[in-house]
Amino acid sequence: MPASLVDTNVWLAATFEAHPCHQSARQKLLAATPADPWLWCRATQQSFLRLASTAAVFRSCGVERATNADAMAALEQWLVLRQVAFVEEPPGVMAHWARLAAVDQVAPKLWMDAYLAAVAIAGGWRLISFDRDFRSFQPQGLDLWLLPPAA
Amino acid sequence: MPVSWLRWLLRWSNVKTTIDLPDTLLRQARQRALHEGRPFKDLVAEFIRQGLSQVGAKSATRPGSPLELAADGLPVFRRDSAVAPQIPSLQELLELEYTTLAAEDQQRAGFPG
Repeated sequence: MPASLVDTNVWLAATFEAHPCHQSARQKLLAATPADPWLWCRATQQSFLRLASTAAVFRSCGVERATNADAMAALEQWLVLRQVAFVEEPPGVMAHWARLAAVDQVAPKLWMDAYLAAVAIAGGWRLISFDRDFRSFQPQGLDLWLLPPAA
Repeated sequence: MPVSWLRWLLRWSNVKTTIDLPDTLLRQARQRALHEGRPFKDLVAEFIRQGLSQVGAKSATRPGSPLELAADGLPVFRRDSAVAPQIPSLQELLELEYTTLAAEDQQRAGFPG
């Protein structure tokens, strides 16, 4: 079944009305279907909950206060939608993760990026993100849908 | 002989599953499906979906919460323009997301952020 693993930055854009890519993210999401859903994994859930309830982030997006309960309620609302689903970590992630991330560089950001890319590759899913850094994984098998920065 | 639990099968998006339901609840649901002339599985799926949506909807309508359900059915954190008249660019927000998570991780590890 085709499906797309969605990066945290896209979920945040879709959630925060003032995010510069809010409308773009929501329009794409509304085009998803139960047969071709947008996916959460535990790592994107964790990042979304942490960031959506962090003052530096929610205040930058014009929200006075977003509590942990607010962030969880938003996540639960996303999961209610028929075109949205949660997936467990697929088998084989570790090998992909090590291959993509264990490079001979000081690159701490690479761990999370490579993990998401590894989950997408192992699950046979496309990855949707605003982060252009994911392009580096395309030659290694990542099916990437890079959303444009402007609406 | 009273039957308190009945095992039944529910088809859910091409997945067959087995759950236990109180007998009276099952009969009520079947009567409702009969009354409305709808397939039983469609009615049950709709009720489950409604129940799940109400979980978050309670929080969405909580006083003071920025969370709302938009007209398109998607959740949204509404903007208060008094809080941030100038919204950062996408690139600035991506950097903020990374530095926020990295700072939290460093703090958790006992290093100054």
